[in-house]
Formats: sequence, structure tokens, C-alpha cells
Amino acid sequence: MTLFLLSAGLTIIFGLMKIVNLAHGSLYMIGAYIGLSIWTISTSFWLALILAPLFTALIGYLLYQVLFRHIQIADPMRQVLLTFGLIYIGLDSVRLFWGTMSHSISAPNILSNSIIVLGESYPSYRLFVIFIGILIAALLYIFLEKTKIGAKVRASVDDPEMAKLLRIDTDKILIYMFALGCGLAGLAGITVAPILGVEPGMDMEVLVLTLIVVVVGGPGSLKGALIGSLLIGFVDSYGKVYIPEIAQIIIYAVMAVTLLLKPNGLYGR
Amino acid sequence: MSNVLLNVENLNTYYGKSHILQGISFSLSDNDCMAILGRNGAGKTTTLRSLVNLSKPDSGNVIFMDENLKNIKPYYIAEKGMTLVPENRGMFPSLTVEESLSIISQYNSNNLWTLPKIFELFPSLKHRLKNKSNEFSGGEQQMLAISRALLTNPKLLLLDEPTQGLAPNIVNELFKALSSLLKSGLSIIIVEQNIKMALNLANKVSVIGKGKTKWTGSKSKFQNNTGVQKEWLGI
Repeated sequence: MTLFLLSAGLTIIFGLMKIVNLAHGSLYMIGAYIGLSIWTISTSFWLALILAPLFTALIGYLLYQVLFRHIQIADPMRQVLLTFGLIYIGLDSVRLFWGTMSHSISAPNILSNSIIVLGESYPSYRLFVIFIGILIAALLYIFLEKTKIGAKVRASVDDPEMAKLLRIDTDKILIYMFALGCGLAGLAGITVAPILGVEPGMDMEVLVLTLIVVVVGGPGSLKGALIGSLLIGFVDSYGKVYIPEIAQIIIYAVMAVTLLLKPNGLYGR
Repeated sequence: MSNVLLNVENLNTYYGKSHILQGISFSLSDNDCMAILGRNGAGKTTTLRSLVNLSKPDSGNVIFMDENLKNIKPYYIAEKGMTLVPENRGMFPSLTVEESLSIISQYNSNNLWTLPKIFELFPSLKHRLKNKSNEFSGGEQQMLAISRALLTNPKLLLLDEPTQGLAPNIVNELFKALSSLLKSGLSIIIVEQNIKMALNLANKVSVIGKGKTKWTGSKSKFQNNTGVQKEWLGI
């Protein structure tokens, strides 16, 4: 589900801007660190859960204004170099502000026990993460498919020039959707923190998985992000348990097979 | 003498390194309909795109309603009252017809164009609100494209090859609709391969060749000027 939050953000940004933001993982990491600081200061996980995505979205907003705005019409190579460079800047900023140690956040008391699901004991915090993922998926679906602003967003993805000709301020839509995508990365970072901890390098671990999910699901497709993250998540987890010998390559195999059968991804346009 | 609505002065536009428009000039008054004619590749589409800044002119001026449009964003130009229906009709495949029509912001209630009036003009759209526009025929797409443009409440509508690929009876329907738009006071610039239809609508003609304005004048003068017709249009 964390994977879904990440790939949903990345796929929205890609759909609108045709930019693959390689620094998406960095925003996830920064979201986790901001959450860590808020949690340390306020001792409230809930406050961190709410504020960390907002701060990450704000960082996304600023990044867009300062950098991304200018590379939208640039060639892909420059986009890759810029966003790749941001990965290093993100990593070093985190080291500078929070040090190189790994930290942990504990889940709030109410979610720290385990409950029995289908005869198996399951940590209730993980259920909560699943709930967040489903909630966000539902909210995004309603927002994009059922509201007028959502229709404007889809129109801007379909044909940005035409949207402009119809008095739709596509630039404004881009900024806010970019910030939303970054905020979702931040949300993923803080929700995963009690499970995986917070440490430098957590960005690269998820970046590759997220990119695979987006490619498998079909770039620009939210439904693809959901199905893709479930597919890759399950294959990755079950692979590690049942066939650990090939667990390292199995998700790449899934990606290769998907691309052979459907070059645009499962739900690609 | 009616008011000047649009004044285009010596427009030059590049696509990368190719110099597409090398001097386009014309002017348009309220309620004029101008046909822009010229051979394929003469720069007609680029001219329309340059007027709304989708292709940014490198030099020259576009003065629309006394405002110079240099460095003004296309969405603001649309807000000011000039919009383009592009050659590919700019459909939104992921939106239904209803959504396509509803996303256009209506700021004030005294707008000239409202949904009921659109359905008066193109009754067939009314029954297809829940359909997605990519299931449409070319004629229906064109009607939807024009309807969307009208909902922005333009003063000047730019049409790029509206009848391209349409059956003759649909062309007739479209012609009637465009005539009624002109009667309602709208101004139109139309780029069209169907010269006969364009001339039936227009009162002014501008001929473009090799990126330059070669001739501009009234329709009757154009019809009497076989030299221009032969040299730049091959008719």
C-alpha cells in the first residue's frame, strides 16, 4: 500500500508533465524525516501523519516553482539529470539535518497491538496502513472522476493545449497536482516509518520498486498504479518467502513479461 | 466603419530553426469572417496557433481588442475572447461529453452561450451527454469542439479545417451553424481546404503563400482577381 501511495504520486506527475521524477523517492524519505521531527517534538504520531505530507507537498510546490517549471519542455536527458541530481541533494540534506543514524518511530498505542485476521495474528498498524492506502485510492478516484476539477485535470492530461484554449489554467493545475503527488510520497514516508524505520538510503530502495510499478501499471494511469502496486507488492513478498533463490529478479521478470505482452503497461493509454 | 477587433502586424514564427511565418499581416473588424487560404504548408495552421500563442511568434504583434498579446498565456487569451478549434479537434478521450462541456468555467450569468443554446445549435449532442467523445464520428467531434469553444464566450473564433474528412450533409449542417453564429455577431477566422464553403461564409479573404501574406481584401475583390487565385491557390 505504501507502494501504491508512491506510485500514485509518481504516475499523476508523469501523466501531467511527462516527466519521470527520479527524486520521488527522496520526497518519500524527506516526508519520513519531517514526520520523525514532528513526532520527536510533539510526541504525537497523528500530528506527524497529518503535517509531514503537507510539508512534503510544500517542498514539492517550491521545487516546481524553482526547478520543474523550467524543464517541462526540455529534452528527457536534462530531466533525468536534474531529477537524478536532486536525489543526491536530498540525501545530503537529510544527512546534514538529521545525521546518518537510522531512527525509529513507534506507532501510536492504539495501533501497537496485533489482532487476529483470518486465523493469523497481524499487527494492527499494518492494517491501518492498508486502510490509509484504500482511503487515499478512494479519495483520489472520487476527486479525479467525479469532480469538476478532476475533469479539468483529466482534460489537461489528454490534451494540454486544448485545455488552455478552453480557459483552463493548466499551469496552476500542474503546480497543485505536482504538490499533491509529492504530498502522497510524504504520506508514504511517514506511514511506513513505524514499520521500516527512518534512515538515509530508504529513498533508493523504494524508487526502483515504484518505477517498476508505474511501468507495469501503465504510466499516467491511477488504476494501473493500484493494480501494479498490488501485483509487484505480492510478487515481491511471496517471492521472498517461497522462492528466495530468485526473489531478487522475480519482479524484474514480471516487468519484462508485462512489457512484452503490453508495451504500454497494464492500463497504459 | 466598424471597430477593429484584431490587428496582426508582420508576424514571424519559427518551429525550431525553420522559419515558418515570415511576415503575416491582416486586420479584422467586429463581425467579420475571414477566410485564410493557401496551399498545404503555406503556414495557415501556424498563423492560427500564433494568434493564440500556442506557437510563440518571435516578432510582430497581435493586437486583440486593443491589447498586445505578446507573452500572454493562451488560457488568458481564451478568457479575453479569442479561442481556436484545432484541426485535430482536441478531443478529451477520458471525458464524457457532459464533462467536456462542464469544465469550461462560466464566470458570469449574462454569458451569451449556455448549454441550452448549444443544444439548440447542435441538437444531436444533447442525446450523447454520457458518451465519451472518442466514440464519436468526425462530424460529432467537430460539433462538440465548436460547442466547447462557444462556451468560453468568444468574440473571435478561429477554425482550422473544420470540414476536413466530413460527409457532405454534415458539412452543410456545419455551414448552417456557422452562418447562424455570424448572424449572432461572432467574428470568425476560418482556414479551409473547402474554398467554396469558406467563401460562402467569409466577407474577407487573406491569401498566404510560403509563410507570407500575399494578398488581403474583400471577398468580391478576391473572386474577381484570377491572378491571385492562380498564383497562390492554383485554381
